[in-house]
Amino acid sequence: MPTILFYLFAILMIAGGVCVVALKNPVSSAMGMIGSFIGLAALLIGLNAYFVGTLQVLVYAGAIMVLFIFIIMLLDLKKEENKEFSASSIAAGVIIPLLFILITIPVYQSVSNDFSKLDKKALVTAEADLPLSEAPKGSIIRTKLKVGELADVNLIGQKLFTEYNFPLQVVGVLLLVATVGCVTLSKKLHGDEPDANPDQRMAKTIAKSSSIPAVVQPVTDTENPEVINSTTSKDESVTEAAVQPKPGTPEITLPLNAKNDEKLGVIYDSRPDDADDLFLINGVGPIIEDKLNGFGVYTFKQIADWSPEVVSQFDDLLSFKGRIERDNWTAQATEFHANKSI
Amino acid sequence: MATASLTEYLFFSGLLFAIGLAGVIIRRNIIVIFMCLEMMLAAASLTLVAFSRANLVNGLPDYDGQMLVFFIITVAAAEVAVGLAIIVALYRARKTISTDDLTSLKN
Repeated sequence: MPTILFYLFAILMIAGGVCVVALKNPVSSAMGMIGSFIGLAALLIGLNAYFVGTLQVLVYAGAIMVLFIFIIMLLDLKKEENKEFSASSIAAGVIIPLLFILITIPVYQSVSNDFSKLDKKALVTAEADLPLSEAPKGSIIRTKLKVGELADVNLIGQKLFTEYNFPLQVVGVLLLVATVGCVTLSKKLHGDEPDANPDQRMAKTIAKSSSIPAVVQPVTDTENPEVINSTTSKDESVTEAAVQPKPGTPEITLPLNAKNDEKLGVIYDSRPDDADDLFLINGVGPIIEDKLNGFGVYTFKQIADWSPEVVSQFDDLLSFKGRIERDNWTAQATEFHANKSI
Repeated sequence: MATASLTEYLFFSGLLFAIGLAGVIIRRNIIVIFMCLEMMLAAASLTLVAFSRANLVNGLPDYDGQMLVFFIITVAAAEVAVGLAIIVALYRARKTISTDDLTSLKN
């Protein structure tokens, strides 16, 4: 391969690889990966490995990368994008690969031999040297080699179905197992899956059947604050919903360990018994749940009651740049809370 | 016409492998980590093919190396299918694919 073409494709390959690591959007990463694989395939073809090079484009740049892009598009990953890489991981990510390159330097020094030419003359001599056991007289391999063509596919096929026949069968079984594994993994599990989806679906159906809010609202409106105070803590969460909007009276329904903060709404001093799994809210991960608990936020009810001012307050505290509003936590929390109190 | 030497091929495949390794360490998105793993496999394939071309057997490339690449590509395809199925199942259960948030085994 002429050196200039080699460098062109090598740089395409390396630039694609750098794009994969450096770009934050997973789709851009996948595109960089495709460019990298095309450069790699060109290098393989430059090494007279035509079959492997074609396979590289077909399987890697084609099938595998399409599968990757398909999954990236399928999962909504927008909110993962704006995460910064931590300095320590960048340091480790630079030093360890550099050490690896240092280790490989002796290898580069020890192999300095150039490739011997595979021109017509060399191929004709190779045909003469080829043992009869590998290619019988008059076979395609021999006829192609005689006219100076490298019968790449034929030679690989010859090897694959004689010497490597058993591994080929094993790989067939492996692909079958992978297929079965994919089907099993993609199957919907019922009952034993710790899945947020069933809850959300239930919450949605409850929200859709408009009779529920209609039932909750009148009961709480007619309720007397004194009566509410005497109700058990289980009912409290329901009755609290209606009392909360009225200014001046919210303290009455609050549990003992809670207080009404001016800036942050209702907050708990300690973990209440009816604390909810806040990570069910789309946009709240386990880490953010811990942070919210640190601020005294434990239940969906609290988040559902957040006023726009409280939302912006938490937005600043968690340095979110508007994510609470974007993911609409209050509406989600209202749904979850309605689902819980039914 | 001048041709690239074996050292140059090895150097660039080593570089691609190092970039893939850096990606696995730096990135937090599990899909991108998976892509970087594939890149490392592909870089190893380039090394194998370069050596297969350099060490001629009876004047022809040593096809044993290319057979290994053939099997690597097949296994990688199966691996990607299963791996992405796991990632989708993980996302369904946890609503995240960031390795920072997937720490439930720590407790």
